Amino acid sequence: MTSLGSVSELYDIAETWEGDRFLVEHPVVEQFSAAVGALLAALGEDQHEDFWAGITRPLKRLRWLLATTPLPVNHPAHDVRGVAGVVAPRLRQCRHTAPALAEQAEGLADILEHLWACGDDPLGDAVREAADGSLTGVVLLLADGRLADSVAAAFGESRVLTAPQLLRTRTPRAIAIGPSSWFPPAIVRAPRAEYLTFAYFGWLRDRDPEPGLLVGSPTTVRSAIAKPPARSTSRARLPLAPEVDASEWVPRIEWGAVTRAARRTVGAGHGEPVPAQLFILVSGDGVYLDVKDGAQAYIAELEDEINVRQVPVSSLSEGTFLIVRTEGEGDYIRELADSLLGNRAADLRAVQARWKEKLATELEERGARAVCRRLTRLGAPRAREDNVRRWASPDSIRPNDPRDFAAICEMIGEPADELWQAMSTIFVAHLQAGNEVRKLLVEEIRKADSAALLQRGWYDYDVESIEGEGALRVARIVGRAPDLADVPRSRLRKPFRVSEDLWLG
Amino acid sequence: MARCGRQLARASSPSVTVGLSVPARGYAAAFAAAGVTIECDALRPMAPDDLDLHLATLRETPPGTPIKYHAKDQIYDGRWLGICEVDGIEMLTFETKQKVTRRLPLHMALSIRLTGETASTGMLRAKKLTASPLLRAMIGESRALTFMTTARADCLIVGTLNLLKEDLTSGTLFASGDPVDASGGTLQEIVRARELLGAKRYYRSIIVPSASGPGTDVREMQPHVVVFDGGRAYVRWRHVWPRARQLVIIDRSLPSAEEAADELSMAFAERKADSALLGKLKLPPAIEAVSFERHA
Repeated sequence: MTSLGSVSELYDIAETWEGDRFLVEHPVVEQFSAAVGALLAALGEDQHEDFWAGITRPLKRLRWLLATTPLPVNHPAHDVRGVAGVVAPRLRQCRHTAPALAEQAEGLADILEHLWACGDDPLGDAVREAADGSLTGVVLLLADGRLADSVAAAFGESRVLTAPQLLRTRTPRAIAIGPSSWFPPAIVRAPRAEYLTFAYFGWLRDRDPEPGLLVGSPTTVRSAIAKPPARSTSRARLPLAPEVDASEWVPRIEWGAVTRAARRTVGAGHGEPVPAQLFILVSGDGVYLDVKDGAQAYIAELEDEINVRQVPVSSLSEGTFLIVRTEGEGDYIRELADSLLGNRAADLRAVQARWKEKLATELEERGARAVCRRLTRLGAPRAREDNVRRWASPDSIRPNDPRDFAAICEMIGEPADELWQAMSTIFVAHLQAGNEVRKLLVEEIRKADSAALLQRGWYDYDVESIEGEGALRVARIVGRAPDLADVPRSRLRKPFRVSEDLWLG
Repeated sequence: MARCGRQLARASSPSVTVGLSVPARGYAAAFAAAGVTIECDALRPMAPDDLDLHLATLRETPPGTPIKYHAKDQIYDGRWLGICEVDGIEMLTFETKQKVTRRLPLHMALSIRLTGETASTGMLRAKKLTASPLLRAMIGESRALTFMTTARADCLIVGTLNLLKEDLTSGTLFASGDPVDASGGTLQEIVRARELLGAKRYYRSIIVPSASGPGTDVREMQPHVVVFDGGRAYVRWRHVWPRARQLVIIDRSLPSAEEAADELSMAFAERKADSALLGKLKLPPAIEAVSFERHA
């Protein structure tokens, strides 16, 4: 329960909070970061070619982890050794494949091989120093929650949170790992810490966050983060390298590579190809969703109250929590509807498939325009091409208007009344199934507490009513492919693994 | 927030939008709605004070319309029967409990108050009503009794029912600011949201769940003010009541804040005119605010 007093305290924090920046210097990590940056700059667009991508993606991912996780450099969670094992031999091959870059590549391979011997904990030490020795009650704010468990194990007295979690609580002291531009602006627009420090490497250049939200407001939200101090020459590796814009380190999804990998991973599939949008989820899954004719997907809203609802696929964007099924049929609503229909399901589905096949055949043989004209003559009020194609699709059940359905049945020689009743039975079962899933999932999320979901960005929920394999996975979308792809229907809504290097590189 | 609600309710133009960005949504919509209902009651009192005008209203009121008859500290449910002549003298006629027909001289018309309902099938009762101390302290004893026994949708609050319920019914507020003085109450006593306990029949506000949206009856209403409690509520339902004054409360901590702020900024960019409404308010530094008039 939120009391008036606690809300008032949040207004007080917004008026009085203070923030600063703590620059962290570490010569070994700086040398590694600079060498990676120099290699990327030298490669330019070539870094996306297969040979170089196999080197640069793991390096970028490692650079990101080292800058966002307050753990010793050679902590197993960073997997420096694994990256070195894969990347160093390739870098050393450069003397044969790219002699112009050989010296640079050799140097980077040497640095990398020494990196996994480095037990220093520059960000962790910075946290301890910024906290003035006592970490009790201090919140450690992570830009990336995937290693939160390892960080929590290392900082037992502190609360380890991600931004969505911090925004649901309040604390006298928080230390964010990374520059402010790596965090959602909400953490300064709606501050929950009385004192907030951003601890990050000194060679990263942070941009002041934009605290204001409303255009035209005569009052502005105050930004209380002090300017960064000058870099410490005693702690930095001399000479000081030029600063790098922090936003350049934020992982970017390589859509070309992800799409190619998706084709290989998922296999050929079956069913007619349909235009689909590829989404990458924070759980490391990719998923294709049908975008045709207003197709919808289930999402979870985790604002003040947990809510599950359907929205058009076209409206899905980064940050939305998408609901997919981890295994089995991607269309879990259809499966649950069938279980509600019991032994009537098979006959009803057969009838549904029969009239849709006939309509699809008409579309193929006569063309959509001719079919629309004919249906209109037969009394269908909404026989537009996109509608008729949707009616023929296995994903729709029936038109909403019985006059449209009657016209279709007359055209394909089926009994309209009998079929309308059958399709309405399926329709009602789908509605019930949708409501059931919504209700059960909201209950599961409430029961399991949404903390894990907010921290990692994804969580699997077992909803007992859905028979067969697979839990429902609620996962935040981290990217939406810029282009559509034609994908066989059987591959829709089925998540598949995407290598971390492709979306965290 | 309450002052903002009052100012907005007082705005002469129904096309005023006020947008506020706040660090936390809690209680903001509830206080604003309380300001709206109090101001609406002052602007358009449901307790009549002009005898001639009220008599004219009663003459046009169809028989069967629910009324309240205020007699000292008793309030009687009633059904209006009309103005009829008894021995050549016009008398106010209405039915009270147990089908008793009562007649009053015309000069007592102000003690008969329309409830705001068009029909009622409920039992007619007589009750000794006491106004809640908080409400009484805010608007006075006489107005408070009418406030509690009449229905009108002055304010729609679009948001999350459970959260609004918590804001409206938890805690005790004191009009004097002194907890020693026992004249405390909850915001629900002032907001009188129809969905919550105690205001099902006689309400001044209606809560519209932002997830499912308004039903047909609420969609067709013409409220004086609509309070959008949260960015999502505004993004989804801002088009539904174009002739109502709008108050948009955006919680800056929520993911929906940016989308709602974009929509609000777009409406601001396309505004018909600036509004001076906010100039009358002293806003705390943690609040961003914008006000403007929309195109019809």
